[in-house]
Amino acid sequence: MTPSSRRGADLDPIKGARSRARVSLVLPWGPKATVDALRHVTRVEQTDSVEVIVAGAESVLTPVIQANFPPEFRILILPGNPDVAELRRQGALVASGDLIRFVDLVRVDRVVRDGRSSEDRLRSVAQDPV
Amino acid sequence: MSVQLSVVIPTGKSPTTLSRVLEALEASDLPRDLWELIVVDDGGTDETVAIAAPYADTIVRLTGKPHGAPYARNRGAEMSRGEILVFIDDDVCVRPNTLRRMALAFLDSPDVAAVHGSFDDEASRGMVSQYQDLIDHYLHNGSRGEAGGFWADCGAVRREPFFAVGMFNEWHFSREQIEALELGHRLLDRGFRIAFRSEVVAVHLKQWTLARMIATDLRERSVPRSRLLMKRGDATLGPAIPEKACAALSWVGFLLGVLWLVTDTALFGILSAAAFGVVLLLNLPVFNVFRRRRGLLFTLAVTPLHLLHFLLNGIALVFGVVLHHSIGDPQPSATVQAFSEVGVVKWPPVPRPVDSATKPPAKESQGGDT
Repeated sequence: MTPSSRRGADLDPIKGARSRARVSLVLPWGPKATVDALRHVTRVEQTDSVEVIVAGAESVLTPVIQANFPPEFRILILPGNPDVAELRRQGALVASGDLIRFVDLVRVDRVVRDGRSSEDRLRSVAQDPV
Repeated sequence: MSVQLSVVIPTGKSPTTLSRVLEALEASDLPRDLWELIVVDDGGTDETVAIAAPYADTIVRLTGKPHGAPYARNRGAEMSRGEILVFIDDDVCVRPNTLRRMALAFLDSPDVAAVHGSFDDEASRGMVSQYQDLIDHYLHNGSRGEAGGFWADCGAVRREPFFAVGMFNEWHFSREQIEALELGHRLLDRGFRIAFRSEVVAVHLKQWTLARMIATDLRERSVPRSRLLMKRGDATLGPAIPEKACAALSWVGFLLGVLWLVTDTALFGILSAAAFGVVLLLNLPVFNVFRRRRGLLFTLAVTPLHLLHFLLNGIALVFGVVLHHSIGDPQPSATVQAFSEVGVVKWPPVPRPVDSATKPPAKESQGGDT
């Protein structure tokens, strides 16, 4: 697909042009993703005003898991056993936003549990190893 | 969830080296949750999105014709959440410790607004590439900690000063030229400090050829620098005095050499050799670096390249003066100027002159976890 075939790319520069960037949120749903992390994300992100795409393998994204998602979420089920990189890639390719943001639910979980500020974490790791 | 560093990579239609650049970043020893990666797809294709998706936290898609690296970096910065904005080009591979050392440079020196490193000259291949990377390395390392400009191939700047001075000048620079140098001068004008850190090193994947070196030196570096110098009337922006003298002497030597060939008068030949000899003497420190790093044969081989560099500088100065007096500052197209004047609000946004871009945007809160 070329840029000009993307939705909205060929609009007149003034008439009908978007006034701001559309946002797509891609959530690759791997085996370690948790519903708790998803809840955290939906709390801090304005997921009602953006396109949310949950991409996962058929075996992981079961109907039970899908029941936790708001109905407006787009579910992208991939066959086989795709890794997270592939989930992110496929999610990005179906996203229509000008901004595509990726949420690593496992990382969210880890940082929320850590609880320290990012500056504190940076100070603790920035020094060269002795 | 907050991050400390926002790494912004602008990339265009031919992201041939992008995957290597992203893999190098992924191998950073700074924990991944302390930095976010923003890839700005400047008029690229889905290929760029597919390459960036496994690594990026945010992909910014700029539709339409390429907008240029300064514009793309600005859009990436506007979408960032970090306190420190790190700019990496799509043909520059960081070392595993580059990001951590950048972060440490800011932690160690709270008064420093921007930090940049240099290229690893050991990694370059091909004589022209080695010469280019060695010259960059020499120039940066000669600054002894205090930098006289910024370098966006691999540089970082604190969020607040970056937005306070109006970001990169996307109005004047529609492609990658000397916008980082110009940003650096605006930072220095406002009293901010820029530091060079020799321990911050990256590898340049760009392969230089002689034709590419000449074209880049003229179109993207020397001529824009001369125009900027004329605009500001600030001698510190231009080449240092020895460099100006070398450019003048190289031209004197060149013209005397031509006269010698045409008239067969020995005096012209002797004077030509003397002029080039003085240039070589003035550049002994550079040649010493070349000799130490690559040996005598390499030094002899790149000496004509170095002289050519001075000849190009002389041409650029003349072009810069002529362009400044004939067409003035570089300007965007008439359409862009008209859109900007009437305040059209659209995505991707209309390029803005530096004066109008002084308010830092609120940190992006949407999306991004990471």
